[in-house]
Amino acid sequence: MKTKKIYHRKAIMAIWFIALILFNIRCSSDTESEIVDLNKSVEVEVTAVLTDAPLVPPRIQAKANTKVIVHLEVIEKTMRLADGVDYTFWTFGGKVPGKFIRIRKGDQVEFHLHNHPDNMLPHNIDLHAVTGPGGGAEASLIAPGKSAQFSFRALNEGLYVYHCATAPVGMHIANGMYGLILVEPLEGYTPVDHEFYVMQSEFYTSGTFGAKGHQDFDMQKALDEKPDYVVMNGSVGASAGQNAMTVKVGETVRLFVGNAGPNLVSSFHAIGEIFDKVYVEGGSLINRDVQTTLIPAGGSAIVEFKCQVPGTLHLVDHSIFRAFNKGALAQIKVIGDENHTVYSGKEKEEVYLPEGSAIQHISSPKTTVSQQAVPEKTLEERLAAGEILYKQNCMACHMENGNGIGGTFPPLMNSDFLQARPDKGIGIVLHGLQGEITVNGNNYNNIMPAVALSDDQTASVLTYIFNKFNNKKELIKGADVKEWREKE
Amino acid sequence: MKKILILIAVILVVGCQNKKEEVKSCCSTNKSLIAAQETVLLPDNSVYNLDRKWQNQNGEKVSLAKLSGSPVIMTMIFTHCEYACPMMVNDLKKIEASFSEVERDRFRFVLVSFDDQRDTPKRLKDYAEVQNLGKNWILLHGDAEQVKELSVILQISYNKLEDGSFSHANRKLVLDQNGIIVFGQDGLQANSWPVVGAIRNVF
Amino acid sequence: MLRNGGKKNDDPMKQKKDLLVMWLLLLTASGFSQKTDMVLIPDGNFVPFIKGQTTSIKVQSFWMDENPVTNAEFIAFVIANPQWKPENVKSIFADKDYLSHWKDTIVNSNTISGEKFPVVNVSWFAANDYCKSVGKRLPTMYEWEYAGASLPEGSNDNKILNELITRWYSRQNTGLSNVGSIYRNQFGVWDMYGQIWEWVYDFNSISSNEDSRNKEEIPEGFFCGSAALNASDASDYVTFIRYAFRSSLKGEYTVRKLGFRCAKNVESED
Ligand code: HEC
Ligand SMILES: [Cu+2]
Repeated sequence: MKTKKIYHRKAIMAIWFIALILFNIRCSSDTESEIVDLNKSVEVEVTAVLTDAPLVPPRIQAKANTKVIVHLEVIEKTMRLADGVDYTFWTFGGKVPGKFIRIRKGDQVEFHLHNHPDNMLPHNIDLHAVTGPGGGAEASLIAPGKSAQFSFRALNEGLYVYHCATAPVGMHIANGMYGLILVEPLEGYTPVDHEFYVMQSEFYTSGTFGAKGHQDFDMQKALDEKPDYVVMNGSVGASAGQNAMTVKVGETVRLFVGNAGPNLVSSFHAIGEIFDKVYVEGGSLINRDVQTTLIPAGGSAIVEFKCQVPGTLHLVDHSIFRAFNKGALAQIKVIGDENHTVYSGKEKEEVYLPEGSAIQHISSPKTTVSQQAVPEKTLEERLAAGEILYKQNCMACHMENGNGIGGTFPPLMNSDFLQARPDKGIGIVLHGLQGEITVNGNNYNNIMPAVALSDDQTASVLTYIFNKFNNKKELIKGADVKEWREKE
Repeated sequence: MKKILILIAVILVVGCQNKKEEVKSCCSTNKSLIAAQETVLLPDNSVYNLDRKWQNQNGEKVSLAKLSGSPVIMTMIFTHCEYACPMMVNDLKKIEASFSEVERDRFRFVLVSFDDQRDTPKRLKDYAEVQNLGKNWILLHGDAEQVKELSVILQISYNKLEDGSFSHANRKLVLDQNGIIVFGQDGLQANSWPVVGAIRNVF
Repeated sequence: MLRNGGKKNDDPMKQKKDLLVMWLLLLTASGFSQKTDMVLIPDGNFVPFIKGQTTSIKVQSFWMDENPVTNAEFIAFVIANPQWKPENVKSIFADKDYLSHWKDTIVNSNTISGEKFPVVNVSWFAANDYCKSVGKRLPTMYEWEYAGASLPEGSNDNKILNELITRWYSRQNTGLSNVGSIYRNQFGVWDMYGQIWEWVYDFNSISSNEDSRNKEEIPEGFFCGSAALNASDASDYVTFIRYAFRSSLKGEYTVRKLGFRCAKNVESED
């Protein structure tokens, strides 16, 4: 009798537990991040500013508890898909991709969807940022000439895709019905110099790529997942060539990137740039130093980088035939002065020695570097400059945390070898290092090439290593570097 | 044990239900129009503009305009329905129970049958008895055409199946004294408070 | 034909009344009297689009209008049934855009055209009443779909019809043209696709994929995300679009590209 009771209680507990889990899964996915207070009443009302790609609306400045009113109009419209190629797009706001919507976590959104009276078809909207049935799709199905209104609370932050979800959904997406809605953290993202909106998508046309004239939608190709066009921002060259985005050397850029599909997954890559920061899948997880980030169909990513050298960056789907043969290419023109410490351009061509026994000089002749005047700096200045220099010049081998890699690249973290050296590592940076060494009890026998840094830069990067990687605190002066260089 | 299971089920259902609840703003309800006369001038957007005669469970011929004067909760069912309709009637009874005896006399329940063939006035009367429906419940029988018209206005979609039964939406509506739809709620086992509130608003 | 020497009349009510007068003139002038021809649609089988009724359904033989109802025909109806004049119509039976194109096509252009265009901007209630007034009824959805599935005259390839519909969907909405100008199908019915959408009697019907005796609920979100789950052929997107269109309608709605044609039972024909 007693055991039975206990058994019962356990079973009940278990069921409660499962119920709780289910409840949480079904009703709220907001476990980690701060939960929006649904009881706060609205204090301010603003009408959202919407933009066409590649522009991004300004951040809403109003204080918290804001009601944001969004008006979005569905327009069916014939426009250019490529030079000499027309297509009748179904759009959110008259362009493909649809208008960029920017709100903040916790905002109350009053959404109005208008279906233009001249349209042929019913439409609706499914915003992935909405917690509710169909992301608003059920509440917003409207015939031509009608409007629908619904409201939602932005519970989760991130960059979300929205799209039409009227049957047949695939066709509505394939014809251009998608866009991005950004739910920004209340405190905002870190300030950058430029923000751009880039969205990849496919088109399935009756003719092949480049076939002139008006093209109709081809359902069979869509079913086969064989697009004729894969484009950035709605048409071939929409954000390239004359329409390229422009920034200056030294400026930071944040891209809000979406992939509408309807079928393909994008291997998003910027030729000539490394993403310093990627908000993986447009969420809160941050990855750093990424070459190519995967963006699922119906998903997004936020990428950030600093444009260090002038030139043109190509934003592509690195499934590369899509980029060069189907249109999946956008461009950012970086204008300004060359920075040879970051990128030299072609310096010299010489005979390639497979078993390179000599130290690889990647520096220009030392005299040109050493003759510059060496400014003296504070510890803070050295650390700030050093961090960037380290990432650009050393991190590839010694890793971000300074722990190195296995038996190949020795650690700079708490390095007894480094701390024992009278030159404080200056010689290593200036001339490289090869031969057998022992670092923290492990043997290494490898080659480190000399690094083309000025005296000032060398001082900064070494100061950074001494202070950030748990070595004895040292403020290395430019004059020290100069001195060692001249000892040679 | 069973009770707890049910409790959990209820929590899950209630917690996660996402019901469409639309409040239609009631346009210019003109109080002076309230009168239960046949010649009443109905507002343009009144459901009671449908002017065909129906038969109630007592076999009397009535027009919808006769319903004007007090608020109405209206839905559509059929008596051979074994699953959804009994639940719907149950939902309505729950709503009724939220009102005092006195209040209950101030509005009516109207059940309109989809089944123009089998749901004769007699059958509807039997159903009302079996279901123990009070005197403020009106059950209506009409021909296929007028049922279709009403369903279009109430936005209750349905389909007659080959075996004579119906698949249909489960939607209840609150109509004000003039027959203007002021509230609609979809789904079964929905919260009763929004409906109760909608009626109190138009008392 | 410009009124007031081309001066605009701002009173919309007056404008509409003037309109009717003009139409009357037009009708007598053009000697409108021809009776709409109907076509006998033979009985046959038809596989409904929505699952749960996967077995094909038998559609009984019925009469169907050869063409959609035209402006000219509808104006005659409105004159005979003044409750359907735009200024009289009750908002529960037709929304504010009811017949709004009459103003556009007639007042805003110097030439009167469009009497043989299909009438659009009519509500389900208006269409339903029109058909009754001429001793007919609206076709059911199955009847309409069955008649619409007939291939264009002279073709025997399903692809041709599909392409015709796709092209219609894929091009930006253009103006209307006279009825009977797009294509005639093998039943002898004109323009089932290519010009306008058409009302059907049971546009608000739904289907369940569940056993109806146990569950009388609608499959949720049929026309949204879960749509594909309920369709008998998820790649039949041209049909999908029609079903989605119908589901976006309400009885009082009027739409610029939505008209109708009537049907009739075979028995009631004498
Ligand atoms: C191409 C890879 C590579 C790069 C880039 C590189 N190193 Fe090295 N580094 C090595 C290797 C390999 C060794 C060990 C050489 C040996 O075995 O003799 C080493 C050794 C060192 C050592 C001494 C061993 C230790 O762990 O303390 C220091 C200090 C050092 N590197 C600093 C730097 C700094 C500072 C930079 C950037 C300015 C840099 N390295 C860039 C590969 C690299
Ligand atoms: Cu759409």
